[in-house]
Amino acid sequence: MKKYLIILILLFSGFVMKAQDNDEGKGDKIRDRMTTYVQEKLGLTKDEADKFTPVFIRYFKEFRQTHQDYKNDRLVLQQKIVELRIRYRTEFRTIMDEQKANKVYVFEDQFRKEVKGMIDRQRDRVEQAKQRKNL
Amino acid sequence: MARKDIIQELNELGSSLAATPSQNIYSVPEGYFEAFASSVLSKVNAENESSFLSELPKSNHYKVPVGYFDGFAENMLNVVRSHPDYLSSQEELELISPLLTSLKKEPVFSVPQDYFENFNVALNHKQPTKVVGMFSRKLMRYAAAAILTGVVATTGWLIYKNGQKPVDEKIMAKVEKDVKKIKDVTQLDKLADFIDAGVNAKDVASSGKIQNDVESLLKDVSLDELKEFNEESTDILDVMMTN
Repeated sequence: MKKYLIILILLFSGFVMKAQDNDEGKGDKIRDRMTTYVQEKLGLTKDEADKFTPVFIRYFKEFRQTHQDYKNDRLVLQQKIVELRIRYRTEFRTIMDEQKANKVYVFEDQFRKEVKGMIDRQRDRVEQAKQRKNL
Repeated sequence: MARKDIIQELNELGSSLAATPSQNIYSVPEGYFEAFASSVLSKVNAENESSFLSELPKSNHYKVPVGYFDGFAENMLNVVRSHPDYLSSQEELELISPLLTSLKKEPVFSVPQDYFENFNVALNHKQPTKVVGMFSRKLMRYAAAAILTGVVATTGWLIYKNGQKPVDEKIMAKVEKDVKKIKDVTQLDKLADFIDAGVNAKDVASSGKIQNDVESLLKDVSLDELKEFNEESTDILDVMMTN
């Protein structure tokens, strides 16, 4: 009986550890890195960064939802993204000066483009490896 | 309404009823019903004595000879059997269903002679009946372990699910931990100058420094996650032009 108890305790411990690891949901890691990137690029003060982070997370979530909802209609998607960004730009302006608030989306797009570049480079590497193998 | 008024109304209508005297015309002599029954009976008796019924004989016409019904059934059967179309039950059954006729009429369930007289079941009361459990002890142990595991796993899962509810707070804590605090804005000024100088986002993204910055931030992010994010980004970058 003691043997079973030990097994159960180990199983439960593993489960709890796994649950803690999974606290960071899928896609949230990238969101957090993007937040970090934008903050760094904007050069926010500690106070500004504290206020900016929750607003940007909220923006990111709405952004993602908007993409999900309207990705099949590109014109509407464009309109909704613009509306969303205008709305959040107003919020960003309450946290930081206008010059910085205007550049939030520039750095966001920069980050997205760089991720795209990473994927492309990775794809190229795979293709090259395949070609070398075929030769 | 008074009788006078009725008569007056009948007169006005020209009815002959107005002239009819108001007396009961349906009457019988006094003492009529007291002697009614006896008078009717006397009249009936008088008619019987003088009618056709009195002339009929009083003897019973419906009678049979003595012993008529004693051999009646047999006589009737003999009459039937003597008919040229007569068939016995066996012959008729052979005609209707040869299969039934071919069946043997012997009982199929039989036992040897004196079987029940000598019937005796050997009962051994001395040997105790072996008790066999429905589940083995080992199986019960495994079942208990499985139930306990299920309870622990379910509880853990519920705790985990509940712990996930305040996601925003957890994310905030995580981001705050990860975010490197920038002490001055000189870096921003340099970057702003760079952008203001007319370099667009495409050029910036392609620069080695930005590439390194982003790659270092994303070094622990899986490729699948990046691909998923890239699908969204591709759509957005296609429809948006912020620079």
